[in-house]
Amino acid sequence: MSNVINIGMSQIEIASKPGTVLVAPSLGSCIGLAIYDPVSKIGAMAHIVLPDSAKILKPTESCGKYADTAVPEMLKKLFSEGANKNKLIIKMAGGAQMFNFEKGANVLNIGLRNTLAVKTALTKEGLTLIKSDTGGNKGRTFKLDVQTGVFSVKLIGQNEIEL
Amino acid sequence: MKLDLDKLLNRVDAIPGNFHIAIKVAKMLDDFNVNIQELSKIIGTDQSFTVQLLKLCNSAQFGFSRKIVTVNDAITRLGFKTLKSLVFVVVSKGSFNRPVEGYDLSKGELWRNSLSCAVYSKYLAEISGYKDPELAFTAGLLRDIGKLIIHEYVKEEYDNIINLVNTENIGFSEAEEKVLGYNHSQVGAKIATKWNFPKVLVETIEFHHNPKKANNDCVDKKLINIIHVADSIAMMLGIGIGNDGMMHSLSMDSLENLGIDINSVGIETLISDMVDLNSEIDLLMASIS
Repeated sequence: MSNVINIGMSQIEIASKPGTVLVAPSLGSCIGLAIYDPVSKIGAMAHIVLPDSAKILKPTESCGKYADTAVPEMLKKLFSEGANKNKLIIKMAGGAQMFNFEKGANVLNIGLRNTLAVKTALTKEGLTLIKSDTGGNKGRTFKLDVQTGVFSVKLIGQNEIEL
Repeated sequence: MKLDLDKLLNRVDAIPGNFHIAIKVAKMLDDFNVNIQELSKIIGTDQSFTVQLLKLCNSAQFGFSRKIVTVNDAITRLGFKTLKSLVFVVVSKGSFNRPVEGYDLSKGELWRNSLSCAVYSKYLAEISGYKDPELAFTAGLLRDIGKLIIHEYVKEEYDNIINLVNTENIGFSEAEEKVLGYNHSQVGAKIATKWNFPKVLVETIEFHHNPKKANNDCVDKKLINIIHVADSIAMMLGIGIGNDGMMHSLSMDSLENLGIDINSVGIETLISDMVDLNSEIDLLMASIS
């Protein structure tokens, strides 16, 4: 029997208990970022909403909300639980975009900016993304089973596939 | 397959649940000389409705230390406008909190999406200096009512709609209209007219995806812009996102009309602030479960 932990917007969850599945549901332009150590079987997932806390006029203290603060916070939590930096497997999903029919509407491309910001934040930590499923204009649900280390993604209206 | 609108409207002839109470109450509350005893009587005609309404009035978000125990008490302490929006919340749950298969929404998803749009609309109304934030709440809550009516047809024609979206580079609503003859906003507006919704709500339902089509005869163009932006941001955040995904566009003019800076700082700050309202939405959902 699996124990599902739903991760709402701006939240970060960490899990190592066998049978736990971390789930970032209903991702639109948001990013589900999962970091996993297959040796210690510890996983973390964040539901990131925006790219950059420094750009927000009054950012909230919620680290998981912004890509630049979520990545270091996830790593801090993982390392405190004993995860090994050299073993980490990192994948992400989400970052969809609305249609842009108007001039200047690129400013609304939050999905793309989120995707790029997560990559930048990982690079800053000396880490590399292994795989991702981002872009397009459909919603997604992203999962990580911390026991098996299987990452999966489901686009709305399609079957779930392994990422 | 084109919809036969008359046939469709006849099929949904009966007003669901207690919407008739909400519409009557809304109209009465718009009258400054409203008779409070009469109003209490109308709200009190349905016992379970009254119980749910009082439960919502007593929820943590209003923070009353002394419990509201009668409808009269609720009117006095919450005020007409807040009470009106709560009446619509109670009656809407029965209709919106169900699976909407044609849009691939399971039970609860359209309900959360509608409450989110309501809360976001009220917030946008407040920050943009709109005169009636509670009206914005109700308009945001009800704007997708047409989805409940046409979703079975969308399910049948989904492949054709998506095909048009991709080949003609148009939004989902426009493709819906081309394939079915009407989109969910237009059908929603027709139903709302039939059920005697106030004109301002009919218009926000009709133009929530396409505020540019709202002409000068519309009662309240600013409210249409508010609902359009709130709807778009709820969609962007993936709240109750269905198989129409994010295949809609957000009007720059609507953002500008609300005084939002059209740059990445302005947009991202707005979204950051709106996401902080999600705990309020959770509380609202829990209060009416």
